[in-house]
Amino acid sequence: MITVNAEPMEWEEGMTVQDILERKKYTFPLLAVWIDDVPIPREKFDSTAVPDGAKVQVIHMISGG
Amino acid sequence: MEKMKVLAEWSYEPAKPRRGYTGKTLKVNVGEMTFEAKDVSEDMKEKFVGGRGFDLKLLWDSVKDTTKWNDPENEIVFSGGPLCGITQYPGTGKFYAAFISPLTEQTYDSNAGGHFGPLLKFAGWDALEVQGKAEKDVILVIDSDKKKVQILESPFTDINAYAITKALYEYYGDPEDLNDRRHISIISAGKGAETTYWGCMNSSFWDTHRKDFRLKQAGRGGGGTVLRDKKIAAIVVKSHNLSGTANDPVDIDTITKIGHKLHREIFTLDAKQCRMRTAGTPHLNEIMNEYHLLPTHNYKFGQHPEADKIHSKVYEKMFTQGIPDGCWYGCTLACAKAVDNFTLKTGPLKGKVVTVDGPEYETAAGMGSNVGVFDPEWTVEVNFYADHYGIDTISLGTGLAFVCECYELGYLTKEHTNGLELKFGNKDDILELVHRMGDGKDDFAKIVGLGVARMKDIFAEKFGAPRDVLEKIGMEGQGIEVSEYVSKESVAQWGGYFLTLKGPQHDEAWLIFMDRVNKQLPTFEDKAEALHYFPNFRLWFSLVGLCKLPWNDIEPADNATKYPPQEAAKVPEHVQNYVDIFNAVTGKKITKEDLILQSERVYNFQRVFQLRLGKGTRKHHNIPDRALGPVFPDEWEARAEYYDNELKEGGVDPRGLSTEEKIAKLKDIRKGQWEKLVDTVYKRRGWDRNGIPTVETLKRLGIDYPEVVAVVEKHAKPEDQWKE
Repeated sequence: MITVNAEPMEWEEGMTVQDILERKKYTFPLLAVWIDDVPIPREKFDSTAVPDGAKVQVIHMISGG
Repeated sequence: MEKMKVLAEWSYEPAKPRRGYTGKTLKVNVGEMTFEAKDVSEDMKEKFVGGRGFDLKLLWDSVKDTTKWNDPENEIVFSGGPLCGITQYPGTGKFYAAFISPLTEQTYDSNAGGHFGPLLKFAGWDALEVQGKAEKDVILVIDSDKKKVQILESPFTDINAYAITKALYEYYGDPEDLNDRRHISIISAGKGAETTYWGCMNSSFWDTHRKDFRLKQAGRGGGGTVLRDKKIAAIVVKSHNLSGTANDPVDIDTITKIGHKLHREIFTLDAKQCRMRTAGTPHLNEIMNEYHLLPTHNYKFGQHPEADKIHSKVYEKMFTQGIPDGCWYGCTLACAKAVDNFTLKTGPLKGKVVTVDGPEYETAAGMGSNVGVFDPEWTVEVNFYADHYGIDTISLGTGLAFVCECYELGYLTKEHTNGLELKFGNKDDILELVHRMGDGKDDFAKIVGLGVARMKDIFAEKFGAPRDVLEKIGMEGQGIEVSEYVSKESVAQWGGYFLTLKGPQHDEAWLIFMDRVNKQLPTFEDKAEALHYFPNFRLWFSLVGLCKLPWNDIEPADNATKYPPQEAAKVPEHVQNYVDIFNAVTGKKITKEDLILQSERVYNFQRVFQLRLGKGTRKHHNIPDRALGPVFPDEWEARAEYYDNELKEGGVDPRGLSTEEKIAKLKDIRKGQWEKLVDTVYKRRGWDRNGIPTVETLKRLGIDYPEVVAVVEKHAKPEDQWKE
């Protein structure tokens, strides 16, 4: 089990940051992701594995207007 | 065209900007035909900075406590601000206009890009106050080339925006040198601004690539209605005092260096981030739909199966690509997209081929999903005519969505609407209503143009519609229509919309992602802090003459990894850019904390101004039920799992409850949350329980002028003070 923005999510072997974004339907282009408070560069969302028990923060940079 | 008749004329020596200021403001009374130059004091610069700050200060000094929007002493005050007109950094051509609004009956400020703000300053004026009411239609001309200000009798029978702007460019422009027209900018409204309270002000700039003029809109609050009430058909400013250093900055090298860095950022990253250069603000269309934030059918829903039809890729194809679409020099973000060679299918200009400015996201949503139409060609047509008639597309979209829902609920019939079937998606009849609003003769169209707040009264009192339902679904706050985002799932955005100075416009705070999706604002204190910082940070753009978009619709590549999440949302590098540019223009030495202080002064001054005009207390921070949550069962059922969860989090077991019971229970929970939010925000802002800034707050901010303190002391009550 991991948490994504404080909500629980089932963990799967080999799960990447990109998998989480797709499952949560997070399509906003200005996303920032931290795993256990470590920032992940956008170009590594595809290749960064998320460990079981991780605290994942997906931050949508404020926009609108 | 024959020479226009001069009704009054005044000569002046244009003051050159020094460190961002000319040090002079101009007051013109079109009723008394008088002209006056005023000096800008150091205290005014220190406390009010410029732009909206100057507007409000000058307006304060010119109106009475009892002044109404259509009294002669009401003014429209225009000002750019000290950074307005620099050409080295994107988004520096905005002017801000303030006036007492017909919709809200308190001060409102609205802004537009284009060349008017910079040219006004280069013509010698830090601000322009327009007061009085002319007897017949006039044109106000400020011409720094001839060193004259004139009030001319308007000879134009068609004062709609595209018609009068074209005529005035032809009258004042050099026929041999079209590009010279970039030194002219024109403010206009239109016929629709005369009979509705949704009048917008169009602000022109000459597009040297298209060899034609473009129009940007100071859309909100009814400024165009005030302009037409004064019988001003147009305001023309003309100045050749334009250059890259015309603003006389103290340190041009720093501005150039910072500008280059942002230009590189935009060229490198925009295509991967918001696509402002190709899609403009409609890049938000599908994003808002995916996150249940796209207003659909009068904000009932945040998503619609046909939303793909208004996807930004569709608009991107309609917009002409490859032309630099900045509305002021140096704006490489270039989001002022346009549809060229568009053939109008309806209305008085049917068959004419035109260039349409926009649509922006707000128009695409308001005159799209919110009225149940998913046809971009139709939205572009409405966009053109709304601008032409001088009608704000945001209030129009939200207002017509309300009308459509009332029609579908059976509160309106064809008898009321003079034959129109105003159901969601019935695009022919909805567009016909817009034309009737532009024409100004149809009595139902006139009622609609008074806005949602007054429609609620009229529909209830004259048409027998149930008042309680109208109050729940009429999406307005403080008398003005909500802009185009669904707020019912974000507690913080209730404040971002409804705990604002002037009503639910999204220019103060857009916190939906931070609050609902990112979960960065878990406590009421967190939300209140965001509702302190962001409104003040964003207000600063209006003091200095900047556009907000280059702040966070583009961000540095390392923004997301360099800063912790809470800080990253502020885009710290861009904030520092603004501090550095302000200092490089003015020679001052402000910090990012000073920037917030500058804003907080004007924020609180405007709050006291509303109080002075009989508004500005807790009861004026109204919020409709639909902004808080679902009103009807189909709204609940569309997001049943989400709302059931909300009930559980509020301590209510949804099992066994009917949908109506669930709606009532959630409403109780959310009303309680709303009251708590109001208390927490007021406290954070240094206001009392009734939403009035305390004298201590005024003193802390250095705006404890006797006349300001007197207003607070007149209204503040001992029982409303916080007891620690």
